Amino acid sequence: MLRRSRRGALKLIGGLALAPVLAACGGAAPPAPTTAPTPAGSARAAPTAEAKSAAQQVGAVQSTSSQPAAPGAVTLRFYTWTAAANLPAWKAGVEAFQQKYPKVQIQLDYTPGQQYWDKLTVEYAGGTPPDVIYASPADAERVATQGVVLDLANLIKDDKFPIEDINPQAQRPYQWGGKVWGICAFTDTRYLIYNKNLFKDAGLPELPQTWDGEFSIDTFVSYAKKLTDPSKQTWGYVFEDKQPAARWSWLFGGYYWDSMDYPTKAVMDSPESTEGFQFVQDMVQKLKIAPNPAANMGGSDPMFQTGKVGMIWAGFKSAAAIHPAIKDFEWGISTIPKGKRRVSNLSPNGFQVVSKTKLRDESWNLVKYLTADDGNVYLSKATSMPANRKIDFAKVSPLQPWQNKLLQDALTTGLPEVPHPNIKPQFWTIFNEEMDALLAGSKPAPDAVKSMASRINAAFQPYVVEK
Amino acid sequence: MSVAGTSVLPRAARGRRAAAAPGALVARALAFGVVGVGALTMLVPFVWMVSTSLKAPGEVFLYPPRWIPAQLHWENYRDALTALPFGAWYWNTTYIAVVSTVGQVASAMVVGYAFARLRAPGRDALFVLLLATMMLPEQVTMVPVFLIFKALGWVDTWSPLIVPSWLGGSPFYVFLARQFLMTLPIELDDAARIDGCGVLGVLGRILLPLSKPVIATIAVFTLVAKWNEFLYPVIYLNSTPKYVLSIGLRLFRDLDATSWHWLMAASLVTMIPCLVAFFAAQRLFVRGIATTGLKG
Amino acid sequence: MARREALWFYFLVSPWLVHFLVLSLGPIVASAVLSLTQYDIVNPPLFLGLANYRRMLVDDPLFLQSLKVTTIWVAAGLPLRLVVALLLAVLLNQRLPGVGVFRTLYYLPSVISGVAAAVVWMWLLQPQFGLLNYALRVVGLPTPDWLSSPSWALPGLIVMSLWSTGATMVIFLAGLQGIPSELYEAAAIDGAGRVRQFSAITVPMITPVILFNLIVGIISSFQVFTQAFIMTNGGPSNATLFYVLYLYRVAFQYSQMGYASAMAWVLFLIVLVLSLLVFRSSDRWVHYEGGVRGR
Repeated sequence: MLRRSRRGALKLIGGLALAPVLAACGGAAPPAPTTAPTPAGSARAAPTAEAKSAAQQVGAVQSTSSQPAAPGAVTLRFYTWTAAANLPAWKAGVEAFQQKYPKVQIQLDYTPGQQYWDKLTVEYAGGTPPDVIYASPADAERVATQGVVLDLANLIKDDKFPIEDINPQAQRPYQWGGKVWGICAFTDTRYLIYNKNLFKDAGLPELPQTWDGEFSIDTFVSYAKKLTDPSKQTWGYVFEDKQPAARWSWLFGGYYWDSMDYPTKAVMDSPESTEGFQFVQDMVQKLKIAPNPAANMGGSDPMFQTGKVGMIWAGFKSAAAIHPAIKDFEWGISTIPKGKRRVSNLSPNGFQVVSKTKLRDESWNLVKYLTADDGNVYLSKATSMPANRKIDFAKVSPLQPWQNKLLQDALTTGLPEVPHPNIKPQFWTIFNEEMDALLAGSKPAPDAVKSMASRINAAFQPYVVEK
Repeated sequence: MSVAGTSVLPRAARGRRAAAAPGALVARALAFGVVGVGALTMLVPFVWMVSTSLKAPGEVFLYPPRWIPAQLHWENYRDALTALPFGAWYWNTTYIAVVSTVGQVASAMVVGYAFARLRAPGRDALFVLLLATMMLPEQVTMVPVFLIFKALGWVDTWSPLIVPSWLGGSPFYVFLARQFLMTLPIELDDAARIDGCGVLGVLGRILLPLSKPVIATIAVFTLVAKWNEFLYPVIYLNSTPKYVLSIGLRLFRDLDATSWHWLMAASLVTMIPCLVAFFAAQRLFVRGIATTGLKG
Repeated sequence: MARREALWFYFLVSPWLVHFLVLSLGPIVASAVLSLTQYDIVNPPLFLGLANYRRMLVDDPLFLQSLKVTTIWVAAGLPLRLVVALLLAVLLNQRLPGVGVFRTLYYLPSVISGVAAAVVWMWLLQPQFGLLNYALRVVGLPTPDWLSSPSWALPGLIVMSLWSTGATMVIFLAGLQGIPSELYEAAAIDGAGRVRQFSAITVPMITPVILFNLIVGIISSFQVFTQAFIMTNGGPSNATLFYVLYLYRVAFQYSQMGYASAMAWVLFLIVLVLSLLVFRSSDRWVHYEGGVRGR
């Protein structure tokens, strides 16, 4: 192994770069490249966070900074990609963990968006990955099959960790074949948000506050028609995106797979499901009550904030944190309309332990703290719903009790979008392509779902799990 | 040898001519009109950025667009900038960008000069290689390059962001320097050699002073590129105090309506140094600077 | 004498040679080797021979689609961008009042971080609530479904790319500065009008810069990524599935580094051959004042 001191290497390289310039007649020498000194005042983030605004608190991303490390403390690297607005809550959770386990210093690193997985991949290949990572189902499944993360089954058994407290539908993407690749921490669900001003202008009544209320798909369509007015450029409904649009088919009794536990076949071309997909296409092409979501700017929330949209499906955060900022019109929440069955959806995010970690026990403690202990309350605040059923949602939510109940009821019928095992991102590639054609009206809905199912089945063939 | 000085005369002559010809005046007015209208169009997205940066989060998307916010929320700037250790990151970014830029300009001019003016066996083949290195997408070289920097012990330091700039850096700039130097008449070199300048003397005394436009261009481009560089900092920097602005900006990138106003405020503030640098550098693009005075 | 000059040459290019040997050659060779394997980064690579290349040409319609989209982007978008940038540069090379401010304004879009720019354009091009269609509606013109219809998504991105030609414009501007003003004096005395001056002096004199912008444009157009990644993610119906976007998907979402490396090599060869063709042809249309002696 060739070892050369960093300074030496730099001197060599600096010399090479400088030599010609220095030798030039009349050439002024630029400053030599030295190793970057830690700049004076490169402030370690401020420790006291209580009195500050949420925005100010985001700053203290790296929580190791606030307290001196206990003697003999180890540093555990913890990666997240959560939204900027959530960081204060995460930091508080991490600090509380450090109070409880003073021997562990957490280095919470934030890497935005997709680059999170690029960085993780490169670091894993380079042998310097973090210890604990935050994951969404599709990526969790991928890293699990690659062997990047640890199977937690034995730790759960030895520790008698109450895994049954985690909502089983939400835990589903993290657990299969007797192995547990992560613990789900949060779920989200879907309900309806509507613009009360537009409803009033169209002479429509307010929508029900419980899932028992009368709100059928037919009612939804008739309301949406009244709300849609090309001359005022208003729309009855706006889809979040292509994938959430397809979830309407669940209301008609369809689902993408033949079984939640042991999927062997994609069946979105079943008669019920086809009817649902047909409805989605009709909303855009025939009824014209919703625009094609392919060009939405960042989901349905910004579209709703135009003030020109009657109804959207939304997640917990939309009512709890995003739309309270609206001052120009009134809005309310309600249930998803009733179809052939009552169903919502789940998007469960969780934590995984990287297989190369040298701090297995510490990492496991962190995961436990964040999924089944106070840590979960800290992290959930106002942005996500705890997946652990023992955690009191009222501690997390700023909403009114009836609203909390409406959301929690939605969870009981929630389905994850694709149960494990995902068939790699190819599923979504095929899915999105067919949805594009369906939404644009360039392919009849029955043809689109047939081709979707057969292409997915062909791609799925190598991955079918044995019972 | 006062080569550049002779440009003063023709410039004065030009001024007289322009004043004398009414046709030229019309042409200039027309050009001004076209440039002005174009500039206004270019400005629209920018104006919306400014307007959004001053809005309350709930009114960003109102339709029809509300150009002047109901209330001016100047605190968006304070919130966006205090949300993160922006001050420290400003300094980090400045340091990295400036040191890289100096290295990039020096190495691009020297290497570009060699390719433009010196004969050597294998030169053309090397030039093709130089071009070729621009053609592999970054996504594929990411892992091997990481392994090399890791072997050097440079992970979580600024060296991977700075040192390459001193080694020719982006081959684009070497190429640009070569192309520019090749537009300068070779007679300049010959004259300088007769005056006793060596290989480096020709570059330092004769060609560099005539290369201000291209030096300004390389400097501004490198500065802007380093200022906005994202992939390398994300991969190589692990500790928050060493972060740079581009990582901070992405913190506001949630597209779910929560922080567009912060994103715009932070983007506007971070781009100011680049704009100032450009405005200053464009003064070097003064007409006639490269006039050689060597006629015929 | 020639030997001395050669030694100087190698001495002066040595910084770049170090860069090339350490940071370019290694990765290029590595990706060539990986292109013959199946490799998911975590497990050791598995040798496949030329299977990745066969898959690309025979079994992968998405690969061909991405090649098609990128070719349209290069063939339609690049000439448009170059012409717009050159015309702007000529205009901004005049002695106009406030020309420094104008130059800065035109360059401004290049300074805005890629993400912020993409986000702004998502809003501008949004078919229902975006500004562009709002303006078209006010004037009474038809309003295309910019990013949501397969036929308008790519044109939408090309319109956006015209907004940020500032960098290319600046390079042209630097080139225009290199033209001795005596040439224009002489032409004016000979009675040549502005259009004639442009075609007889400006264009020939900046051909080296045109060559530069053309080559760099080819390379960077083939590598276009960020806008599509943020704004359309390749859709709708793969209408904006650019080559590198697909490559990125294969590498980091499907974890097929081997196949991605093969794709990178094909891209590498396409761009290399195109660039070399342009270079070959340049003897005929590029005018060098200084010239590489001894060619």
